Amino acid sequence: MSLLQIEELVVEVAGQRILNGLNLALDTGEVHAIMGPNGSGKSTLANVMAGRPGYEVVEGRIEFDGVELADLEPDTRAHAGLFLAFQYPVEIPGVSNMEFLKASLDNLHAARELEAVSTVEFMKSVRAIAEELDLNPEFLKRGVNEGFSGGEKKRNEILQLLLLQPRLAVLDETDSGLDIDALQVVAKGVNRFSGPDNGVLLITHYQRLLDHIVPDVVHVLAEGRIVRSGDKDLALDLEAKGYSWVVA
Amino acid sequence: MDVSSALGQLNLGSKPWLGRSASLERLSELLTGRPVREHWKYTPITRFVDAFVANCATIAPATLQLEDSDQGGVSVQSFNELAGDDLAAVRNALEGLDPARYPFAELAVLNDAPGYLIKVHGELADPISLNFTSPQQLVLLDVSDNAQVTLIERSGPSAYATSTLLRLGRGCRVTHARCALDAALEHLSLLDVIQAADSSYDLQQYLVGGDKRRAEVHLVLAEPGAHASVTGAYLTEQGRHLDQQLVVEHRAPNTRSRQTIHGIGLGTSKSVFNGRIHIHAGASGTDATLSNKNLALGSATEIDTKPELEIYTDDVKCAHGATVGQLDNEQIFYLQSRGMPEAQARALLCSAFVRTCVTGALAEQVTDRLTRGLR
Ligand SMILES: Nc1ncnc2c1ncn2[C@@H]1O[C@H](COP(=O)(O)OP(=O)(O)OP(=O)(O)O)[C@@H](O)[C@H]1O
Ligand SMILES: [Mg+2]
Repeated sequence: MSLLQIEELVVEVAGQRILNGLNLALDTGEVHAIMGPNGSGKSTLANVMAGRPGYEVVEGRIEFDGVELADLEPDTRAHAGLFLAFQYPVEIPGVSNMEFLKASLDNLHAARELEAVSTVEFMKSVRAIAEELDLNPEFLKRGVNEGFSGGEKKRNEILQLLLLQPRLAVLDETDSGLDIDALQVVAKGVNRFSGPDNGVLLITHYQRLLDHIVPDVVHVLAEGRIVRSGDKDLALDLEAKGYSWVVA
Repeated sequence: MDVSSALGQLNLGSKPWLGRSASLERLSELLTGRPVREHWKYTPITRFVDAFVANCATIAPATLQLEDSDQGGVSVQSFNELAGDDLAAVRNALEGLDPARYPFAELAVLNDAPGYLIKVHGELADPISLNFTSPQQLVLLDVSDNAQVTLIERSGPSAYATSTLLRLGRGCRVTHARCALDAALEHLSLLDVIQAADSSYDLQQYLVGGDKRRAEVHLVLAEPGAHASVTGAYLTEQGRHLDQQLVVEHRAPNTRSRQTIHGIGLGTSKSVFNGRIHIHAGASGTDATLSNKNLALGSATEIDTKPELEIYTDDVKCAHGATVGQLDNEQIFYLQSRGMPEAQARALLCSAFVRTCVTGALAEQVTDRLTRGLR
């Protein structure tokens, strides 16, 4: 059984059909990349998996760890081990990062019937991850993503990934807007996360990320479907030739 | 019961210290007159008169509950003991109140409400705590030039009509934390502040809606260089009513006011926020801002926030903003996607919204109360 199994998925947003018969299977221990033109439906796929309101599954199924996701609340999906690193993380002034991260961890631990994490342990692990990601620990006191630069927001997403340890990480253009050093830092974080018991689904526009995080499979999403899948060399071909040769 | 027969039950008499006596006709005329009806549009006053009489006629006046008033620099006198300048100060303060806006201050005076003059000198080390526990009470706090004091004022569940009058001397610094956090009651309160030159007044005010609660704040920046700031938060729970009237008057040049107040309405509650900035002729160099943001969380929640500006001077800076909105769905989804149940996410966002306005000596008590109300 795959960790993620998507079959003939049709999704509508605001009455408009965006995904149209999408199939995808991802096993534990695998890293898949999804590439595709702007507006082809990559973020829509990520959002519908995470359960964003307004993204309606009209046909088909998304099975995660053998469980159908479509009817679950977003928080229940997170409890099951799904994690989405947002393309545009939202700012939440007034809620400190610290409070947000601790509440997230507490909720996941409670839902998974794991022992609660003490504040001291929590602080230690958050500080260690922040350091690894070159994030100034002062950011913990600020509001969630409040006034963060684009790159800091993306690093904060990876920090959450490493802290919350999901089973499947969906990263929506986490590499966009990063400088060269930040790209390496983020790639290192993802590589440290990736292991035999979990999976990674990387949405990206740039082959350069795949120099650092080597995917097992590369998919091309166009017109609401996966139109081609291949190994990492597919990304090199796309980089050289563009999308027109795979998109009819 | 009509207004004049209700008033007839009150113990209205001559107040030697006030130098005048109550006239039943004058009072009922006042309470039913057009100016009062205008000012009390959202909280019709005639409803209060019966309850006021019921509350005030039966309960014996309590003494003032004041903590830390035995420190040097503080003196407390009952209005009945006053003479000379002190008596004149109290008369002045009471006569300066607009009876159409604040008829209950007038009623309370004439109904023998316990009244106290508190005088403050120098820099006080400890805050003064003022607890309103009797139905009606009047306090005049006179802060002398260059004094410094923190005042903590709480209106308890038996407070009905309370008036706090502050007269701030030149160059003094006053921090005033104030709360009324009991919901199941009717409550009228007046805070009337007049600031002399270069004085600084920092108000932190926290309220919950009551069966009916009307809260009046009237700040007068009377002399040059005076500075006032108001930070406030309120929560009007299911079925409750909160009517706030804030008036800030800039009467002198180079005065500054800052007001930031956040409110949340739940269920079928009603909140009124009337914030008026009045910049008088000649008050050039005035700098005034008021921001009132609200979350209306029920489908039938009513929040009326009305900015009013009266500006009679050219050379001023004045910004006034009032909004009523809902929680941000993107933020809710983000929190949920990290494992937080929707209800918890909403509660967290609400408390974050009010928390940005909760500060000072009452912060902990207020945070507890508001968080409880939002769960
Ligand atoms: N709320 C919405 N209402 C209407 N159309 C929408 C909405 N959200 C997305 N769409 C449309 O769905 C299509 C797919 O959008 P999506 O964000 O999934 O693309 P994407 O592949 O992630 O693009 P990019 O590479 O630019 O991030 C676009 O045409 C977009 O305009
Ligand atoms: Mg996208």
